[in-house]
Amino acid sequence: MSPREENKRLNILATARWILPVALFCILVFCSYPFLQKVEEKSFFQFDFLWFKGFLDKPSGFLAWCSLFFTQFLHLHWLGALIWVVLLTLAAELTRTVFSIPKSISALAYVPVAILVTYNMSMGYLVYYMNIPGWFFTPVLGYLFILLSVSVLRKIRRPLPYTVISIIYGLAGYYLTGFYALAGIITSGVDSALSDRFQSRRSIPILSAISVVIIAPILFTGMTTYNLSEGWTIGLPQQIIEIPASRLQLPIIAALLFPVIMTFSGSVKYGRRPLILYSVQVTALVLTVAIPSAFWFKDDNFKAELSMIHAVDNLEWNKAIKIFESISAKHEKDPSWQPTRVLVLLKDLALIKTGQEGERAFCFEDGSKPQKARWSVPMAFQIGRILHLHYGIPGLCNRWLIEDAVMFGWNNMTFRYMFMNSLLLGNVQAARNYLNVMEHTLFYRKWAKSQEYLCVDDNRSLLAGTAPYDMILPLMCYDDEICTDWEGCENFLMYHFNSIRPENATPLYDRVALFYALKSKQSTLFWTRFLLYLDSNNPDKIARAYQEATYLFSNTKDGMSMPELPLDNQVKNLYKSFGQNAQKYGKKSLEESRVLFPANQRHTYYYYYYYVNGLQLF
Amino acid sequence: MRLRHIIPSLLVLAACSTQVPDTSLALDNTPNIFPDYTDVTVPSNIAPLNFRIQENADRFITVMSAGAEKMVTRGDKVIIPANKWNRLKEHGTVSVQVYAFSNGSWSGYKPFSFTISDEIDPYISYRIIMPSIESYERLSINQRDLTSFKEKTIYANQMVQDASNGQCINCHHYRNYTTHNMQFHARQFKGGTIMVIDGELRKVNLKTDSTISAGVYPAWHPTHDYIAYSTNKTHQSIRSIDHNRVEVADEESDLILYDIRNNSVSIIENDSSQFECFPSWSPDGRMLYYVSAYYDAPFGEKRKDQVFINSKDIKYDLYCKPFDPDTRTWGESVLLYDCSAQGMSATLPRVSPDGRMLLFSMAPYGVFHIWHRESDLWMMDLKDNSVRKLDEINSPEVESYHSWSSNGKWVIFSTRREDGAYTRLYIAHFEKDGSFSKPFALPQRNPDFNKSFLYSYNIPEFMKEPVHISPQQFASFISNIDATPSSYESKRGK
Repeated sequence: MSPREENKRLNILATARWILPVALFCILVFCSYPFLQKVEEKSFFQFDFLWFKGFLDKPSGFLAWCSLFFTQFLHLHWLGALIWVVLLTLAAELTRTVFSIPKSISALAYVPVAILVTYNMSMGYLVYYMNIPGWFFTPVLGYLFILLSVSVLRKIRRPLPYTVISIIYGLAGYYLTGFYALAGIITSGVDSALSDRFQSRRSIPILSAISVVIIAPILFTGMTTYNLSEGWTIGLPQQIIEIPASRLQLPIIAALLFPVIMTFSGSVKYGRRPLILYSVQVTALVLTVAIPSAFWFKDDNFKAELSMIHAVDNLEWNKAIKIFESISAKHEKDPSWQPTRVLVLLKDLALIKTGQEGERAFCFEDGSKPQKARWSVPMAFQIGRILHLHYGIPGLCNRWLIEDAVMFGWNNMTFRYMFMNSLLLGNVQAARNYLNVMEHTLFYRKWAKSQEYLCVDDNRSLLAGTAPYDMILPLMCYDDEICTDWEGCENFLMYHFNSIRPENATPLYDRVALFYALKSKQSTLFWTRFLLYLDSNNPDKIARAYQEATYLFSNTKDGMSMPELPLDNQVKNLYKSFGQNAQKYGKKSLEESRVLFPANQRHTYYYYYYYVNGLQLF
Repeated sequence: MRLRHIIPSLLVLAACSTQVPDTSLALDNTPNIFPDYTDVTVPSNIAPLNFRIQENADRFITVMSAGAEKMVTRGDKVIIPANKWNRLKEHGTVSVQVYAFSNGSWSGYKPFSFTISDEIDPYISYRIIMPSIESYERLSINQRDLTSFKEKTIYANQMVQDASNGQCINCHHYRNYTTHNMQFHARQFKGGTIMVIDGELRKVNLKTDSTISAGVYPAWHPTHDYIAYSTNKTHQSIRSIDHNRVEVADEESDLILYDIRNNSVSIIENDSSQFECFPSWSPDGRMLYYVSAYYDAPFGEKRKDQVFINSKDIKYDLYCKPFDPDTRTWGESVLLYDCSAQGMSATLPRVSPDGRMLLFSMAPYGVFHIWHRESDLWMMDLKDNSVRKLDEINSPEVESYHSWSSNGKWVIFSTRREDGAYTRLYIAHFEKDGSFSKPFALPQRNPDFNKSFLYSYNIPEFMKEPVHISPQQFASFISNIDATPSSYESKRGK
């Protein structure tokens, strides 16, 4: 191959690196947007000096503030993704420039960036636990700070100024960025020691770096109130609940080691050996694709959960049902697939809100697939706020919102739900304050302004005509009760609707109570709730699930005699055909029965009653 | 720039200047300001009362005057420089007039005033907490200089914790308003009662086999080395729909006396059919005031649930119990105020420094009134045992924890009057006629602070001086020193 052709080929390979950010952006925008939305919803940024000042209480607070600034743009997921990809690309290209990596092996500079991408996108359910403000953007910003440190301190060519400036720079940098400044000063120290600038005084930059690393945490611990043991890793995620710090810190540290390694590359003569260059470039490209691909969190249930939660947060009930339908359809031929309880409960809620629970409640696959997570997230932290708010239990909604805020920090969704919940509890001034906070944000300002009209005294009738309160207030028709949902949200809802029948029960309350009576499979409770439902709702037509339950409970061994109700022939025929199959197959697990029964029989109350058993409720 | 551009610019500048309007329409109402500082009485050494005008207008001018001193500010956010404030205060009364410009003309609101009165203790301390049920990731006990806006942390729980082991810190308390004898509890991780005895740190475990818990709510004896504590088995639960969102109730509670010198604990009251709680000494240390509720239910697994089921029937009365500190002997308890007979429940008795007045909070039931919206402050004149509801300082929302200043001229109390959700601190002057002046919110540098501060203030206590031990010293001590177990003296006093 002629040198010209070699050059051409190397140039093509060098150019190939640009595919990486473009591909990443496309994947983020088209495949991972629910995750990005969740990251944004679980963060908070406001333009408020007092709030900004709060971040300066401890080292690395400024970096967290900057990271939160960028995180807010994930509200428009494409914009946030674009900013992130641009910062990552900048980090890679600066790595290439700072460490003089030839263009022909430029993909090498993308390897640490690929690790940073992997770190974020491998989080999965840990997104609920991440309590480091701005964690999504912090690693890349910290990485950029390290490169900046190396570039700045390289310009100082004499030992004494280097010592003084590096210590001042290190201490100031530590206050702003915490751990990343320590990493930056070490990288810079190694870089300077290996360079020819200080010749016989090579130990000076190393000693300067060591003194900063020792002094900075001790100095700032004395000025603030964080734990000294965190001093050397402040700015990195610490251990959260049972998730070890190593899981959260090692990937970042691995990425940050790259610049340190590259400082040794100054002596490497890359030369013009096309085969070596070609191999390095290809290997680096493979690594940058393989590492994220291997660890990227991929789970359809997780993605569907995030999408459904997002839809429900925005009161898009039909969209939530469609997401459930779509994931069910995708796994139709996979008998091992089950929805998680979060999916099932959100689907049920959406059916109730759209008035379809009687007709369609049992027309979907049921299940209780465990989260694909080593450290599972309690349902209360995922959707506790949603369930308790929409089922009219504002006390518990408030409880989970506050617990979430205490443990993981205030976030956009907490504020939104706090606002709604405060209105339901009749706490107008508190609601106004939450709106006031949201009005200082970039993306929720408009929403906050649009809600101001609800913040008036005696707003009950106003709320009664406004979504979502119009469907919540009728469920708050019971007397106050001392309650706790330690046993899980679903168990509590079951208990709540099955044990209370308020004197002033509304038609909606009776509808929901009937639905939960069906879920409980208790025939006596069903009959009671059913009659109350008929009385208060006076439906034109009995919904399908209720017909099936009526027919089923009338035909069971100890069944009550069926009231004079017109039942569809289809209901009776399905019972017959289902009964034949049930007799034929006998007792089966949910997984086994799913293969044996045709869809029209599976999607009945009969099937739910006999075969949907042993679910793990949360 | 041409003249035709300059002239309008100058006009705009003139309009924005802080010149007091020559003529204005007189309005007969005072402006709506936040915090509401209209016509309040404030201490002579208090920090500036910054406020925001909450009226609709294009522009505002505020004029503050006292004697020959005058200060004019522009805008709806009125920030008073400290030196100016100090000069204004020297004159005894500061008059405030707000002008609003809208629809092309100026209006003048009815003037209001700040009446400058007695000095207040220069420091307060409080706990900062989110109103949560179970989690307490971020708690701190802070001290605030009342003469300025400086706030410092005394101790924060994140200083000694790891991810799976946290600390709940609470019940900071001082002997006679000074900080070289103080205490707070650090529960759970490396926990104990942290005491400063004559400036020396001590960590004690007050739980003994014969008491139901470690010491909880403290009352430091004013003259002798004793601390009275309640011991409590406390639980929390949630109300599903009520505006009182949380219920806190004791399953058991007693009173104990901790002898600092001997590091020993003895029983003051432990009637199994009574929930004794919130001890508080008279200034001479010869009387212990406390609250107690009758609750005679069987002990066992269900007792905890029963306490919540019956929570609205548990009503605390006010008691006092004579004490001879020299011989450490107790007299018989006396029912001081039978609240339950009136369907009410009292808590947090605190005697004024002159020993005359007993301030307490009262609500229809229970003992943890910060979660009871109906809770108000009441006062008993110990001279004739007459009781009065303090309408002049109460609000429709919660009034709960309260403390007297060391000179007895001020009380500070926690209230949720601003938004019903977060506890804020208000201060009121105790007048010579036994009434209180209109309470005012703890001044903040940014008047909007309380609207966006998503934490509650707990247990406001006056101090004559700041805590001198640094947070790092506390943290280091708590981390490295094990709690010394206290012994139990079965005899009730000597």
